Amino acid sequence: MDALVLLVIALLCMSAGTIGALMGIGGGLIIIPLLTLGFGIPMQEAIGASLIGVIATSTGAATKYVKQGLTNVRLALFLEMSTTAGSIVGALIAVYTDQAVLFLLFSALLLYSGYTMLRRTELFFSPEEVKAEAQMVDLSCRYIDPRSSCEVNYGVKGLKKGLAYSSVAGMLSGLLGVGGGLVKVPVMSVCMCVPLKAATATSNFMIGVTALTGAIIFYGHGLLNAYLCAAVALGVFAGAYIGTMLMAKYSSNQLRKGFAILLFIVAASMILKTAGLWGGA
Amino acid sequence: MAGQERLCRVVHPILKWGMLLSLALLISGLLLGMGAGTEMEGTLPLEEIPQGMVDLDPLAFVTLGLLMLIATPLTRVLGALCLFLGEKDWKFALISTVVLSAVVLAILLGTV
Repeated sequence: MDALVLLVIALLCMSAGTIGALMGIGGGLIIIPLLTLGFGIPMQEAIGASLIGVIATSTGAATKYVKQGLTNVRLALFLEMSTTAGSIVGALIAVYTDQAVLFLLFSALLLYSGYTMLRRTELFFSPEEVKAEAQMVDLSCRYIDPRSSCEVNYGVKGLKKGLAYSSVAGMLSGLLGVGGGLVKVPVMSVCMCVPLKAATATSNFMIGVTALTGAIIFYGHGLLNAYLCAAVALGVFAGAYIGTMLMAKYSSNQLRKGFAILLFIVAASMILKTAGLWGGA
Repeated sequence: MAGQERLCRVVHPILKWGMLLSLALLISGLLLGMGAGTEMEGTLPLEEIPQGMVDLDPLAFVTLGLLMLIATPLTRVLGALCLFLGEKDWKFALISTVVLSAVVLAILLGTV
């Protein structure tokens, strides 16, 4: 692969890192169509590079978010149990399922999540208000909002619901190869009453663990294209850094609206893809 | 119960150094590769990396950089597990162990 092409890929992948760091998603949604449609790279190589990109988004943004307290490490570990288990089940049954039906169901789920996120305003609870749940597993956390410099101290509700939904999220990402962060952020924000910025940062943190299994499997089978992956990783790292800076510029409400729009766009592109009208997503 | 600050003190350096190390390896590999003008395809298998590093093979640098990057999220779960064990926070030690086992299981299922 040409050095100049790699440089262009790295520059374009910066956008994936920035959106990933802001929205808590991996950026595979951007990287895969970019590489396959834009550069004619085979799907399998593109997926491998995108897995590396997801890990780079996660690690790059988390170095900042963990320090700021935005990442709720304990909540991330708690939900990682069910997403990882779910993704194994998803990958195992993927062979037996009809992708088109799944894509449509997933689009419907995304549209519904987008609608709920637009309709509801941010609602969260202090750690004292969720004492009963905290006795089971205490996931309370606090952070200083990078925009308003206010300290936010919150407790996490709906633990069982969160575990159940995130296993579905994991299963869907095992089945379809997409959608980890897109489902995790609404689950945390709507069902578990986690403030949006914390939900985004925590989702971003979690997808690193989800993607690493895929990346190791790809490496084991010799399916990674090292230089392509390196270019994607470098671009994404730079983009993620920019994303963490932008996080301080936007309010939760602006991000919530942005996230809902992102959900609508992805859902629309999936419906188009299922209908055979567009090759991306 | 491991406090948020202590957890951050364990997890943050792992992330930071994981990122910096892999960045350094990836960039030096890419620069070496451009200088040498070698064929830029595939990855190096694990066992050939040490010899490749000695020979200044650009592919060895890039592959090791990618492996560092992949290992970082796993190392931070391990780091958190060690902290929870040290603080006798059994509930979260168990949670971290379940996560690690699920990751290992997924890898085993995928590579067999």
